[in-house]
Amino acid sequence: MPLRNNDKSYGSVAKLLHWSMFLAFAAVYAIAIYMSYLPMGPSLFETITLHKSIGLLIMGLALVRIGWRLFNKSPALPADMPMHERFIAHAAHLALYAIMIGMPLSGWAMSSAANFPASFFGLFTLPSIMTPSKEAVDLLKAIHWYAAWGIGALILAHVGAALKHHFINRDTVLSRMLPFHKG
Amino acid sequence: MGRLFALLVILGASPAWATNWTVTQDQSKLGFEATQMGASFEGQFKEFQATIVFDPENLADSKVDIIIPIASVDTQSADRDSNIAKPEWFDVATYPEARFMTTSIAKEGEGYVATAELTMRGVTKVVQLPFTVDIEGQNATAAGDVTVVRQDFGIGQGEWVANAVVGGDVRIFFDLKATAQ
Repeated sequence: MPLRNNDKSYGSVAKLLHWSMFLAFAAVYAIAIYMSYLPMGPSLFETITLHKSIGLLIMGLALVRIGWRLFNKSPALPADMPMHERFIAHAAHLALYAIMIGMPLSGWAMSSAANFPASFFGLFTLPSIMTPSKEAVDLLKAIHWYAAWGIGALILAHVGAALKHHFINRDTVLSRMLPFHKG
Repeated sequence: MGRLFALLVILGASPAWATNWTVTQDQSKLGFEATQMGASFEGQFKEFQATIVFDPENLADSKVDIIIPIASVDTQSADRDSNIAKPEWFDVATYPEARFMTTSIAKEGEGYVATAELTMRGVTKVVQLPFTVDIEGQNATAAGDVTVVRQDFGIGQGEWVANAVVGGDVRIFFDLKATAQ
């Protein structure tokens, strides 16, 4: 499998980045749900730190991914795909990239606003990006919470669209991103 | 003769009166720096009552007594502030105040070292706190810090005793502005 994308399929780098992102998203959501049930205690702090660390990892991966994408043309969409579907697909992918940066950023800002420095897996501490403010924490918390639901819905739509392409349209939109699929 | 003696006593006694200082609260800081998951954060006490008698020429009569209502803590996080008051931490319901009271002050280098009794969560420990004082006319600035181990005072009970999440070392600092009375 080539490293770079070609006309028909994604290369191994794009696939690795995509599926790493998938695992990181699954982890960050699972931890978020788990920690919402944890009582106040050291394990809550450890769990929140893990959630923040994976969120930051997503942001870092997103930057690499966007960089890679800028120099690697994505495989073409199916020729018979209607205009409005193309538009929706591009808009959804743009939104997903914005989320990979924006959501961790809102969490990082929340940590800064709460004067709870964000540690990256205990390796180093991120600088503060906001002046501590209780009002800002409440606002960011609400944004982070509602965005989490919105993003969850968008991801379901992303998965649903891929499955629709595969099983209904019977095109290669899903298979060309599959990890071990040679396309 | 008797009058002259009385005058000498007054003159002789006057240097013994060390100056009383009033802290300007809104320009002063009294707080601490602790760590969570290895990252440091700062907190301050918005209220405290300080009784300060200080004269560089008369350290023997100089003393500092600061009483801090723990509930006035502000770490810029409402969640954390309310947790600090809980029984596992400062147990504010039982021990509403912390107190710092010097027993002696000595000159050391350019600054001073206070030997003081520090009481937090009902436990009193002797601490050595180095500090500097800068007096200009009627105004003075005093700053210093001391690092204590929170577990020595029983701060952070149960699961919180371990240093993994909240570090043991806590740096207590002050930067006080005061005017002479």
